[in-house]
Amino acid sequence: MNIEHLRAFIWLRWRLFVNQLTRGRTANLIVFGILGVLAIPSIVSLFIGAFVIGYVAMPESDPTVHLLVWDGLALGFLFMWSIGILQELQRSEGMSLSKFLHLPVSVAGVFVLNYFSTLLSLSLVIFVPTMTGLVVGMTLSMDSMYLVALFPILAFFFAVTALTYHFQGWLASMMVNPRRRRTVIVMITLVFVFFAQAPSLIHVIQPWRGALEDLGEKLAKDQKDLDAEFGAGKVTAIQHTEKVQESIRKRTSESNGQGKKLWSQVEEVAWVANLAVPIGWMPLGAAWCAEGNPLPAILATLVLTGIGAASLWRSYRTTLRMYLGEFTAGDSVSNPPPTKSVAPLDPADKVTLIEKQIPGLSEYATVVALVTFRSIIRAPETKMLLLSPIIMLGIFGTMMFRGPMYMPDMVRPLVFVGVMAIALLTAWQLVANQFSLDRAAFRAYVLCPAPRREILLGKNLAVAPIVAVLALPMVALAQIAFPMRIDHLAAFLFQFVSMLAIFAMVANVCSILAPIPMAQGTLKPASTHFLPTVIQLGLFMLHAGFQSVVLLPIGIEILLAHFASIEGWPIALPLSIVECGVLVLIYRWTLGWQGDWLMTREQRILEEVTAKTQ
Amino acid sequence: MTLAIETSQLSRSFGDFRAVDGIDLRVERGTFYGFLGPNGAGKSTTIKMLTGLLAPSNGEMRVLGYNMADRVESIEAKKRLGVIPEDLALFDNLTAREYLTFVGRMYLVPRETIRTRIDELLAILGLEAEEKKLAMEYSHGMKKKLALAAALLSNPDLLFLDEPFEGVDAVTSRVIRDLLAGFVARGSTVFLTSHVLEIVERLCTHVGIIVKGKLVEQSSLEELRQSSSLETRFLEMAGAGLDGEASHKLPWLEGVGR
Repeated sequence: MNIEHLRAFIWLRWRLFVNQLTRGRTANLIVFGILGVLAIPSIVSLFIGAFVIGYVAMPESDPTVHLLVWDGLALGFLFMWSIGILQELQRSEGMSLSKFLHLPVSVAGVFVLNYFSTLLSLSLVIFVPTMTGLVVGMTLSMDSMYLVALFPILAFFFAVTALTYHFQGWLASMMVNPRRRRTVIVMITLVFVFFAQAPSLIHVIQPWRGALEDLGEKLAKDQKDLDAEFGAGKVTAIQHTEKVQESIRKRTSESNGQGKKLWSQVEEVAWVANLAVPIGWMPLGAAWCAEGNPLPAILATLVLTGIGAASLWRSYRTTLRMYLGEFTAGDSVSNPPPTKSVAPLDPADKVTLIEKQIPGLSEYATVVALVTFRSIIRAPETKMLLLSPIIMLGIFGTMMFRGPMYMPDMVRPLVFVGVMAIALLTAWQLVANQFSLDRAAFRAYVLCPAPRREILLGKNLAVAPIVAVLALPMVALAQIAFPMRIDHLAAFLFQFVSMLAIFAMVANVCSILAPIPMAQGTLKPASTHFLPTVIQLGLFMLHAGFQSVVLLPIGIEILLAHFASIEGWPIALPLSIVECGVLVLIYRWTLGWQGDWLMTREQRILEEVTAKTQ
Repeated sequence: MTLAIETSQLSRSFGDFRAVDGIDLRVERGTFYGFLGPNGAGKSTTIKMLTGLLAPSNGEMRVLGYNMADRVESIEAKKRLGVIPEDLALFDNLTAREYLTFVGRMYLVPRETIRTRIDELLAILGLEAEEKKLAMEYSHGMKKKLALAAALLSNPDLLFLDEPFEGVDAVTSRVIRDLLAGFVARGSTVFLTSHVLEIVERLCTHVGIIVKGKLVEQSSLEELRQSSSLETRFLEMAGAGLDGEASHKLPWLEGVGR
């Protein structure tokens, strides 16, 4: 291994990164160009900005503030670094060691080169100058002792990059099997999304809310009581004003007390949490340096360096074992089972899903619906998409049950339409880019003799049960929180069909007009072109507007109640039934011309969805 | 004899690049037609156009008597075609049996016939032990076999096969050859591309050679052999140099040591 090898590796990573960007042609190139031009001034600005903060603001701050600032930087780095790892995992041309082992470099050499080349990342480019600037600024304004904080920072970067390198290596060995590869990517992304959503969930739940809100409620109650006293003539206007002011003073003082208590709790939790998690030792070391004690920083440096070294060593051992064929990533190394002799199936055998017939549908539409449904349910990337409403469920559930919330009967159906809209928007990608999700398999549709309207119908129907399952938990939750009138509930069933019809009509247009090629095994565009992206976004927003049509029946009922005092009559139900019938007829009519349109565009769509992904 | 494939000045351009440049193909029914050409000559582009996967830039084409440019007629033609496209057309998340059931149903083959044919095809192609695996877990050769099974399932009149022997083991290669020979013997037509001249020579009755998008040779194998061997003719047409000429152009490859 020599410097030329290292240069070649770094160049390779750079080239892969550039090629990935330039595949998206003009728009990406412009963005990339702008980023490239701004890179060096940005790095300098980050350093200067952090230096100024460190020099001016930090010296006067509390030790806990120091700790929290470094915690914030550490978490920011971890977040960005995780995004980088996710992108790396999803790349089709991963930097697998097997691609380099035939070159004149030793296993150890390839290992070290590969590790160093992973350090060329945006996260480090952003955070190294920022953290360095902060340390230098604080060193100049406080004490030269603070320069020691640089060591735990470097050790922190080493520990994180080495640990994740080990983790990536382990995942790579797991992902040799393509099926497992996609599951791993999905699980990792899901875990990442969950953690990324955690701050939002905490904000919604607001564990500190109880104490502060009680205070507000007390103030409101005081005010109400005092107003009642004044209204009853028990106190004069001057006395009332004085009492109100006194109440505000008292409650503000209480509030300040509560705030101080909360802050001391935060301080306690922050110090303990940093002590408990090794990654938190970098902020601990840096915060102690500000107090003039370098010992924790030195200890943190030693421990984090040890973690990094141990991770690299284990990673190297795994690499070596893979190279020697001793590593199986948990797979059994026993001999494969003997080939079974397959007896011909009895015609009376169980009918599989793909063989079933959907009543009232043609053979073509049935099989397309069943195959599409099966593919969607099996594909990990779409599973991940379908799991995302769980997060929404958490957020909405918490909001609905957090406190008493009054909602008039007439307005409640709107909640249900909103819930349904969320489910449809989640499933948007499954239909609005349906041919790209088929990728190479779209050829099967182009080659087949089926009428194209039947293909569209089948594909639309495949998504209907998925949308229903997505919407059901949220609908149930909404019904518990804001029970609807029985006639409104019945009307909702027809609104569901109406919304699906509108959704399918618009999403079909989108999929025929603006297919965006998807990378294999992911929901990431393989290349992004300006016009299809704009059309997709435009139709997505238009679709939301079109869906407002389903609010007409309930809108008419509300208007009649308001202006003609016609209340309690189930007006929305018959109107929803009529509207549903009309929309289904329109859907049937549009399927005909959409099918013809698909036929004229299918070769272009095929070029678009396959050429860029292969 | 009626024609299975007939094209007139069929062309396809990608920007300024003319991948297929005005070819006039004539493939008679009941023939085994080998379509040869060096890499990038336009073989796959031609098959894509003939099967409706790609629109031609110019020219006309009739497949089994149907005008492939006409939407209604192209659907009629597709009912009678079996195709293995260059990059296959498999659903990653379906098992072999599920995929074949799907294909059979799309060609309106009766359910029981589909089951029987799937059993037979999987057995003969050696895929029966792997039928529960998803297509994404298959090796390239296994994917090729699955695509062949799908192409044969509807018992088509005309088979388009783009490199059917690429990545397939010797045993399966033999099975495929037998299947195709029997298929042609009963009067159906096969149009295949292959890089393996030996296979073309052994199987095909007619050959066409395409070089840089132009059809430079089209005749029966018998006629072609009268003047020279297929390999010699192909190499001449493809513009290959003489034996050993390439290594002379790289003198540093000669000799030992550095």
